[in-house]
Amino acid sequence: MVAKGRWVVRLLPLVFLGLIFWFAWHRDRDFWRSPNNLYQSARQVSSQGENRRALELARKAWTQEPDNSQYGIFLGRLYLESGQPQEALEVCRRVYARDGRATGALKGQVQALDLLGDRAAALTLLAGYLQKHPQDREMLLFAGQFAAGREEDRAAAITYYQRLYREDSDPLVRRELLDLLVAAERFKEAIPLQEEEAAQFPENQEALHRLALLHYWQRDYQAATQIYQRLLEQAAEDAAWRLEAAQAADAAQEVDQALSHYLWLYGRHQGKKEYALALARLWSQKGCHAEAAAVLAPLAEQDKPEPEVQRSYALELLLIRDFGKSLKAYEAEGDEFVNRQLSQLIKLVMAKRLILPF
Amino acid sequence: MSGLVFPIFFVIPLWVYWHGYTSLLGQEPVYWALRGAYLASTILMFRYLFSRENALKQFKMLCGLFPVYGAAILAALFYPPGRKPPYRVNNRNPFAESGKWWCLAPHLVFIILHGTLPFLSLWLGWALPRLIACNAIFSAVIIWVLADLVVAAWSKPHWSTALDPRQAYGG
Repeated sequence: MVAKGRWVVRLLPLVFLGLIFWFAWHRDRDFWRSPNNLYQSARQVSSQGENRRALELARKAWTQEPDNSQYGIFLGRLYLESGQPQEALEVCRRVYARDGRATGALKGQVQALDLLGDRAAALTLLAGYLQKHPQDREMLLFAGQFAAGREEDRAAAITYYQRLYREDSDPLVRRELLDLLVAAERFKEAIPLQEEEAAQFPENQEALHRLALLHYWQRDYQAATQIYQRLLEQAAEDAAWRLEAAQAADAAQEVDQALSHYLWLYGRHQGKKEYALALARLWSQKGCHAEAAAVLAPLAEQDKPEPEVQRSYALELLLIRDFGKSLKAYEAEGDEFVNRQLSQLIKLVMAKRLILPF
Repeated sequence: MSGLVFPIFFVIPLWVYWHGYTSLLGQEPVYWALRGAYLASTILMFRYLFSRENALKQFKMLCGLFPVYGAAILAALFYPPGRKPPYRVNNRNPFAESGKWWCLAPHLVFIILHGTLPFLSLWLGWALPRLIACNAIFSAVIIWVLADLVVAAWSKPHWSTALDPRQAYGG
């Protein structure tokens, strides 16, 4: 009897343990794992793209250790990634309520609110935090990036980036700020920053190029021309920059400089029409009609020249008193009324040997 | 130790099942290292203390008789110095069947609680399954230790002919 009872006593704990483990496994098949183990597995599974399983593991990790902000923030991020902003918002709010230093939870709240369509609340949340912690660089950067996502919040983004740049003169921050200022067409504020960049990286030709562009957009063509001149001293063979330099010089009424650039381009691109027309216009402006006519001649003598080109060519010929060629050019041009009038005028000039006032 | 410390050990898992609280989460390796050292020390202590004479059985008796030791401690505390409790012969009729089932009540209460609370806690979600499973190991040990004594108490004692007290004392 006693021996039988002893056997039951020996078996009882084993049966009890077996039942407990079976029941626990039935309730949660990951019951044996520690919160850290669950969290690490969730990260691994998430990196493999299995968001559903990652979410399950992260939820269990945080349930087991709700005081661990890292677990909560990760769970919130997974909710956001799987398109569940309401759940993300609740998790992040709870984490942030427990741990006011968990800025990851604040970021999660902001993103969740944005996804829920309450962008104003998201921006207010950020503004409130940054009012209390004006020197938090990480959050300033996040706020800048977040606000920059929408055109209507660009001004706020610029303010955050300006504050961040005052805290930390990081070239990358300055670059972001410059892009935002350019997008907002606030060139006047952008120019000093771009000057800083160009001074900090003198070998960076792109920085100098951007500075030239900013001056051009600011309609300070003189300054733009000078910077393009510096730029072309370093990169004389760059045709794109040469064209921009020509346009800037043209706009700045620096005709000789514009001509020299267009001549370079004209030579490099073997008489490209765009440059020929620009040269003709500048030479004509300068009173060099023979040069203008010479550069237009190849275009006008093509099989089917454009009427505008033909007319300009005829006019330049007229201005250098090559009446015969001018008459021929006018006759070849399409507009009958104008041609008839001008042809008659030229014939009259030729017949009477009139001296025109030009 | 038997009268005060063991009952605390018996109650701790029950408390965990009920409240689901533990201060050990996140520090499991430290806990198992300390607990292992404690277990090793206990085993060595009992081997030394009982001169290797069936140490496990003696340990189980020490655990199982916790109400007796506990009552003795209370008696020592409540009787003033110089005044001892009256003497009672505790083995006046050693071969009579004992009908005092309530002597086993503390053991039975602990066995029932350790056998049911973990399931209840799992079912109702009072504690984390991992915590319950971990404490169930201790519950199993407690059930094993106490049930052995209960079985011994409820069974009719048998002795070998040489060790039969009837032969020694006359029955």
